[in-house]
Amino acid sequence: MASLPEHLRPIPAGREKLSREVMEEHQRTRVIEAAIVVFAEKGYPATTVDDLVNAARVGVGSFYALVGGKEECLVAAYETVIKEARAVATAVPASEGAWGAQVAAGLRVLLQWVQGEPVKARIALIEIQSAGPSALRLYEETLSAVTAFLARGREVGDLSRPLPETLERTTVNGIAWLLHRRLSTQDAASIDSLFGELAQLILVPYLGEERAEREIAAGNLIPTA
Amino acid sequence: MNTPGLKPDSSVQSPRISGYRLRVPKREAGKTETSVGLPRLPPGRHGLTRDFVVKNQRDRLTAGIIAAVAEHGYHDATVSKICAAAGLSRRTFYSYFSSKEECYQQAFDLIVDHLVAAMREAGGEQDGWPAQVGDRIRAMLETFAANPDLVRFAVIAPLRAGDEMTARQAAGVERLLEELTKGKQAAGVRPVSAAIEQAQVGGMMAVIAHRVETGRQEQLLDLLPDLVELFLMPFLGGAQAGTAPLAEG
Repeated sequence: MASLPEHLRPIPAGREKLSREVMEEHQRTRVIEAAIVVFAEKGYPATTVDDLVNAARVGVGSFYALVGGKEECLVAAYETVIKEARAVATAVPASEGAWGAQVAAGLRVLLQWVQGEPVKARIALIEIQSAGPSALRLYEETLSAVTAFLARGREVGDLSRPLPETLERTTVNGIAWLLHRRLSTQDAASIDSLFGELAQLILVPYLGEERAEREIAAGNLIPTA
Repeated sequence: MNTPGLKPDSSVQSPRISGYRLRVPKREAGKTETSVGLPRLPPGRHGLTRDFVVKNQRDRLTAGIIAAVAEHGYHDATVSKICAAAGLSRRTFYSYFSSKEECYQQAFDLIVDHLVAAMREAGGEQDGWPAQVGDRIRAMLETFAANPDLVRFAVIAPLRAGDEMTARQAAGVERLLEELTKGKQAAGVRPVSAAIEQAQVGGMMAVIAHRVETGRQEQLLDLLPDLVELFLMPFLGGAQAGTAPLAEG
């Protein structure tokens, strides 16, 4: 039996679905990337679905089908930027240096990231806080992960007495607030110059001043992938 | 209804609220009692006393916006909801304020004024700066503990309401920081940069907010030793901060 010409043959089952999924994923990424810019520029509360749709050049129907809505879109944007920030932080090789040096190196690359990517950093530190309860839960989860990593200092350090229970929350939220203000006042250009004093703020309670100094210096030398 | 703490009183300097003064008791140097007689306001929708609410319309609207924003957040606290909480009409609202923003700002400033006044009254100068910091933080916590809606209104809500609101909040936080650090030069503590001070006070606010958000507003005062120790750490060095007299109070 003569085979049908190419364009008349049935499409193998599953293939169309797959390519549609790929296409949708691609479109979704495009919508989220456009949304990051819009949210950062207008702020979450003032951003409308129209703004997002126009920036992403998709129809309103596709927008809802792809991301679900404004709040879901911000959540997806947040997940995208946090994934990137996490990749930046984990580029510090875990095999190098003591805990304090690791913290210092992570802080260094994260501050550089915030300074170099102020639009994404705005999503991660500012817009996420005004996007409703599920967004807030995600933000809390991220802060808790950082907090847990810092709390390891309690075992590493040579503590003569227990540190306040709220130490890590104070440090992490305090630094988040400081960066929040710098980003809001368009004063992001000098963020990486905060490295030394912020590293001390974090590490001195666990390690004492001298050891903190040594590990900060060591952390500064850890190359990042 | 006569509520202790909210009665006509001309003996202390505090922000005026239509002839009533939010009484901030004078503390004697060295006194460390936990209850210093700050008004313990009865729980209720707005957390402010009935006398205060019925006193006049502007005050009722102030109480109304505090209650509405505390409950619904800034954006969802519509003028209608504020008016419902105040028991007044929208028309009355607009005869006092041109917008919700204006009403919010005035209430916010009133709260910061009150906090600053309470902190000023609290710090006994002869005890030295670290002890004063303890007294000031205690005064702040007592104000918040007496009405946790103030935390929801002034600390939590603006952070969730976008840039402009957070910028206003930052100005208020700046004023608290200024009050907290008053006297540090004379105390000869280590120099701490503006950035670190900003992080310190921001972290403190976050811890207070977290207590209230997790429903532990009754335990706000338990935070005192931690907050004092953590705030003083960069100024005194880690080892000394914990031994500041008030950290144990």
